[in-house]
Amino acid sequence: MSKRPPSKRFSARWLERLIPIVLFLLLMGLLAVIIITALSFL
Amino acid sequence: MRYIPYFSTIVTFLFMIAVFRRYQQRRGAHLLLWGIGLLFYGLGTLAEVILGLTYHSWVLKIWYLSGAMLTAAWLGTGTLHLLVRKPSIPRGFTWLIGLLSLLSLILLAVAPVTSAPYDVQRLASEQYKDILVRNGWLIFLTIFLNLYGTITLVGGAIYSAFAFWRKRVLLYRMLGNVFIAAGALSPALGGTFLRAGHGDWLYLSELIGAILMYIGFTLAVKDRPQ
Repeated sequence: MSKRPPSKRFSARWLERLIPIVLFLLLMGLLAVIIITALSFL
Repeated sequence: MRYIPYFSTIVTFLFMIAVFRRYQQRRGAHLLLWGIGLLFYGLGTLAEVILGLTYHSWVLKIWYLSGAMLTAAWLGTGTLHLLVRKPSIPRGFTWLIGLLSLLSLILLAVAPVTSAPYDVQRLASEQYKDILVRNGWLIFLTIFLNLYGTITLVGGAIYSAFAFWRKRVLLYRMLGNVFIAAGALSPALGGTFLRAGHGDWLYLSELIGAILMYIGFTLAVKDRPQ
C-alpha cells in the first residue's frame, strides 16, 4: 500500500503463481458480497 | 460460540493499539482512520460480550451502530487516504462518512425497541431484528456504509497486492495486503450470511477477520523503509 515502493524485487515461482489465484478468489468473494447485499435490499 | 467475542475483542483492541502507536510514530490520516475503524470493530465485539451477560437496549444499539454500520466504512476510508493521490477526494469522503456516521447515531438513538424478550443465551445477531425497529433510512445507511466500506477496504487491499505482485516488489507488503483483504472479507461475508438469515456465522467471521487483518498489518509494516 505504499506510494513509492523501493525497487528491490522478490522471486519465488510458487508464490508468483499462487498470488493471482488467491487474489481472483478474493475478488470473487467481494463480488458475491456486493451482489448478495444489493439483492437483500431489493 | 458465545465466548468467541471475548477473543475478538482482545485481538481487535491489541490491533487498534498497534495501529495508533504506528500513527503516533509516523502520522498519516490512513492510520488514524484505521484506528477509529478498529475502535468501532472492538466496540461491536465488546457489545457482543456484554449482550451475552446482560441486556440493555443501548448496548444493542451500540452493537448495531459500531459493528453493522461504521467499522467497514471508517476502515475503507483509511484505505482511500492511502491509495488516492489527490488529497481532496479522500478528504471529501472522510467528511461524508463523518456526517453519515452522525446521522446513523441520531437515527439509532431515536429508533424504538420492541418489548420482545432478549435471550442472553442466544447470539445478538440471531434476535436483534425482533427487538430493534429499523426504518428505511437506517437500513439504507447500513447497506450503503457496508458496501462502500467493503469495496474500498477489500478492493483497495486486492489492488495493492496485485500492484506489488505485478512489479515483484515488497513481498511482505504484498502478502500483508492479501491477509488484509481476506480478513476484511470475512466479517463482510458474515454480515451477508446474517442478512440471509444465518446469524450464527457472524461471531466466528469477526474473530477470523480481526486475526487475519492483524497478521496482514504486521506483515505489511515489515517492508516499510526505515
